[in-house]
Amino acid sequence: MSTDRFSLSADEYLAKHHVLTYLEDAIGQLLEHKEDNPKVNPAKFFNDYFTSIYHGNHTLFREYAFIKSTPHNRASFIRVFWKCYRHIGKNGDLLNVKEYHSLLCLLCPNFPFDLIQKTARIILMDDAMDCLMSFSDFLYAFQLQLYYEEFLEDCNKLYEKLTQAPRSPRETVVVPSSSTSPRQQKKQQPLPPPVDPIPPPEGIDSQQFLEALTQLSDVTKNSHPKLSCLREILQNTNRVSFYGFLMALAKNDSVNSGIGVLPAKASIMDDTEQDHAPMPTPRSKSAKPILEGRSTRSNMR
Amino acid sequence: MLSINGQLFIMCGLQNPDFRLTRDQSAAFRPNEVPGRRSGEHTPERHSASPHFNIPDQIQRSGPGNGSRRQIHYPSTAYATQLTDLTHPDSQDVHSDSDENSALTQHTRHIQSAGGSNVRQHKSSTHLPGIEEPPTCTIVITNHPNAKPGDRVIFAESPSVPGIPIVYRTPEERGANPDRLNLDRRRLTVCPILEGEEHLRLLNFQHNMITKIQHLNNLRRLIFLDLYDNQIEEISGLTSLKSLRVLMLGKNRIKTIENLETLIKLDVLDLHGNQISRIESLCHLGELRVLNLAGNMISHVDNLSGMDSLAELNLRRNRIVSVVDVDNLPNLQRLFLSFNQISSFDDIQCLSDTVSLSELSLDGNPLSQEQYYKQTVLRFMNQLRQLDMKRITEEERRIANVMARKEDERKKESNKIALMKEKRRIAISNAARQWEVTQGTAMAKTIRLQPGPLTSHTNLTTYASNNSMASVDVEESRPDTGSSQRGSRSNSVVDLIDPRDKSQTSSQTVIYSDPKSKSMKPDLLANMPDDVCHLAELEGDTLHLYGPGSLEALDKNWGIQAASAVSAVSFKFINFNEIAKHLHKIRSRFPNVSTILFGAANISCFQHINALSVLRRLDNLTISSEGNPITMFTLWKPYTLFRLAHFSLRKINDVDVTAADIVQAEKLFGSLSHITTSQLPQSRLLTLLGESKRKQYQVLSDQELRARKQLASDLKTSSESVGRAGLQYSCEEALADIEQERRQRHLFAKSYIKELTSEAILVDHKLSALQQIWPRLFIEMIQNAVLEMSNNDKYLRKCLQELESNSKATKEN
Repeated sequence: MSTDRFSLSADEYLAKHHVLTYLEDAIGQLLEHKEDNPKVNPAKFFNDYFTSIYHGNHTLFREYAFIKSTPHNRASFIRVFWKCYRHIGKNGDLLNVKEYHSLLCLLCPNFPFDLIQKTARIILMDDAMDCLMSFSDFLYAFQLQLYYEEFLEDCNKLYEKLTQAPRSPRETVVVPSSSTSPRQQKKQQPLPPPVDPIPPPEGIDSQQFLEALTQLSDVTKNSHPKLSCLREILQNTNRVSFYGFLMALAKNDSVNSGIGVLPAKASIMDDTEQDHAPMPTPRSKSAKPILEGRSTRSNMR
Repeated sequence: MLSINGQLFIMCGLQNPDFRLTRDQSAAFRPNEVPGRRSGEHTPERHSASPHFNIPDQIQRSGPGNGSRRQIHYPSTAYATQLTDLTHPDSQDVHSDSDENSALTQHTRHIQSAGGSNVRQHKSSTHLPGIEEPPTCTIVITNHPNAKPGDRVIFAESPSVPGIPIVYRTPEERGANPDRLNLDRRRLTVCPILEGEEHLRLLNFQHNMITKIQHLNNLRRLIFLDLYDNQIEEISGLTSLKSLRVLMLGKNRIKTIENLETLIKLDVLDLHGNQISRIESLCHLGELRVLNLAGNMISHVDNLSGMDSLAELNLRRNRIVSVVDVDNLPNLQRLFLSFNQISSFDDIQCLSDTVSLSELSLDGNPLSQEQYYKQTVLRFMNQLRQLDMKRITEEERRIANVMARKEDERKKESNKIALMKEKRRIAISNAARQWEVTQGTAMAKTIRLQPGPLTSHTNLTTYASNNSMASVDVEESRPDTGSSQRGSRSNSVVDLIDPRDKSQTSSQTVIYSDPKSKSMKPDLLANMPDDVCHLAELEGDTLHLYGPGSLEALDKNWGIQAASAVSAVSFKFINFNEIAKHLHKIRSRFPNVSTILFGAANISCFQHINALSVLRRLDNLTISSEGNPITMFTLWKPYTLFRLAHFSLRKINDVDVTAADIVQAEKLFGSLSHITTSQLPQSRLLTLLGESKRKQYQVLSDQELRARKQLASDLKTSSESVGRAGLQYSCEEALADIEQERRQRHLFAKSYIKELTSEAILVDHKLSALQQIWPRLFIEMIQNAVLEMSNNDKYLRKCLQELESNSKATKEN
């Protein structure tokens, strides 16, 4: 880590840790605050501001652009979302896409609807927009979608490329329709993790996909799940469809712990843990290292 | 009273308009036509305004030997009419009874007069008993010197036509009265053959039992034919009587009016007391002046056109329910419709078109029981001079006019109200249609956008331009008088606004109409365009708003009374984004509003609920499931309860809010406010708080250096509202504005930070560069110093020289 620090130029270092993002935002927030509270003490304000960033509750009621700007912000937002609506999950209510969107809009007024739609696609593998989803399903899929949004897009591109590329000899005669849309494929194959030993016509070769992903993770600047997790998911199966892959990612505990803001699925409804620690210190300990760790890794050139 | 030949005529107070015929009969006969002998003086005290009343009734005095006389009754009072009719349901029978009972003795009748005084009517109608059995005697000479029922005639039976009596008169008799023959009460069952009576002009068959009219063909000069009180079943045998002018067929058994085609000269036709059910075959009687159809079974008056001379039409005691065609009688002056079944003026509407009518009777009809019967009749027939036998006074006429005016106004009023209602309906349906169109386009956009990125709000607002549409706000309100008047819809307020005049507040006047003199400006209504697409209406304590344009109604001046009376507001066909901009106005303008109703407002997300928090109070909230997608959400009610907890709502969608509901809502969403209060930095909270709340917590912001803990505990007291500080609603425009500001701030911050960082980096660079060259510099400095000081003397000299030159320089200076 220390070697990293000195191998980078100053600008690179600042960009890598999003220092400028936060500094800029801090100034912006101070200006906003000062409009209504002219007697503000800047030092105190910055203290509050950065403490709040450290605790991860700075994204509440902020605009989407800010939430999206750093991985830490995304993670914080996911956590806030979980904490705010935990009881809905506990209550066992099944909600539809629009309602989830509406809930998110309460936390972030301009939260885009398409992100929720994409999340729903991970869970439902379908376009059925009015289907009801359980809170935990949604939460993990949402985490994956929000936190790794760019990575998922890259994956999608890779996947498309692989499906259109000439297959390995044994599968050249694949039904052409399989290349149209992964969503259509999924309709025929409702079971998310395709563990079929006999490769179905849809999907792509897992090993091929894994190789491509490994290459991708070497070049990309975007955050992505640990390679070990990807390997774990893709090694279990010969062939994989895109949404099947996403579903597996969403359900993977090590991916979740990699992001590090949500507890394991089993304890998600656990109320006691929250009551013990209303202040976010225990969580932030885990969040901060992850943030740094990931950024170092992804920004290696 | 007048008496002729020992007969006593009593002009009693008996009032039976059925017999008014006789009066006009008399009027029909001019002295030159019937050169009757005028042996008595008739001094009628007639109240009738009949223009023809210039002739004494010679018919009654048809001859000195006239036995039974018909009575002539003149109207006295309407009361008398009624009384008589009530006491004698068929007043004709009074006569016939007495006639039938008539022996040789005098017969006395008591008839109630108007004044209640009994008037004795003496009638000396004497019959010889023997005469009453004609078949047995071949020749009967009737000769009664003093009081004869009829003319002296000789009955015979023709051998050629057995059973038919032949009537002769002695030449002297005939010579004395060549043109008259009276065969009253001869118990005739058939019409006798009249021998040598070709010159007859008057023929009387009253009170017989004749069943068929016959043997009259040779009487071509006959003018007057009286067949009253017989048993005739059909009108026939009259075709050759071309000069007949008076035909009396009263009290027979006739069922249809027929075979009168040739009697074009007919002047008087009496058909009262028959069984006629239809008026027909009368259209050719262009000279008929008097038509009596009283006491029949007519239910509809029709087929009257053509009788251009008809002046009097008697239709009393029928079963009439409707009258038409009367307006086709150009000379009708008197019309009697008493004792029928006319129940409303609409059934006799045509009467109002008869300009010639001057006398009318309608008593004894259901219609006449109405409170304003007289006034109503007078209103429609202002030309009437007599109604129900009573002269119409000027006062009555005046009252009727006033009432007519009032009625007209009322009608106009109700028309206006109907018009307003129609306009209201149109406006609402236009608003609904516009709403549907809007929703349709929004839906289309949603669908189109679905694959791509969506904006955060799917409820896109594309309103049809309502600039071109004039807005009309029709409101109905209770007046200032207070709650006692609540519900009286007659007090209405009309307000019409043209949006183009919005700037001029003077045009937005609310016109309060006085309860007593309702004066709505008709031209305002006339100006109402049909394409109004919104409507604001104040009904009772509810303000209804239809269509987006109606939101302007919240801006206008409703008056303190009306505004404070409003306790409920209902929005329909208005997108919530539009509503949200105006919600705060409810707080200030309608302070008592506690019920809000949204129908088709496109409330689609929880943020919309946030907007409701600006209200002053809210007890009942109704969000109809139609047109409001939020109602599809599982959690909308708990969230509403949570967000609007400070209102302590009583009802949501008409369902009572229970304590369990509130607990559940708090459980579901409580952590939202908990996190807001406990984890957000205070400065951030302050930023989130609204203007009003910010003032409230200004004190706290001054003490920012205080410990966080203490602050949190202070906030705890009002955490309910503070906890929801972040849950604000801002419509898209506001969001865009905020975004704009934010972007500007961000730009500034970015440039500022960039400057700072570049400076910092530059300094850092310089420092590191210095670090690099510093050792070399140091060594150079050491070397130079050592080299300089290697020769001590030289160095000393050099130093001294420098000192000298320095001191020299100072001296020069």
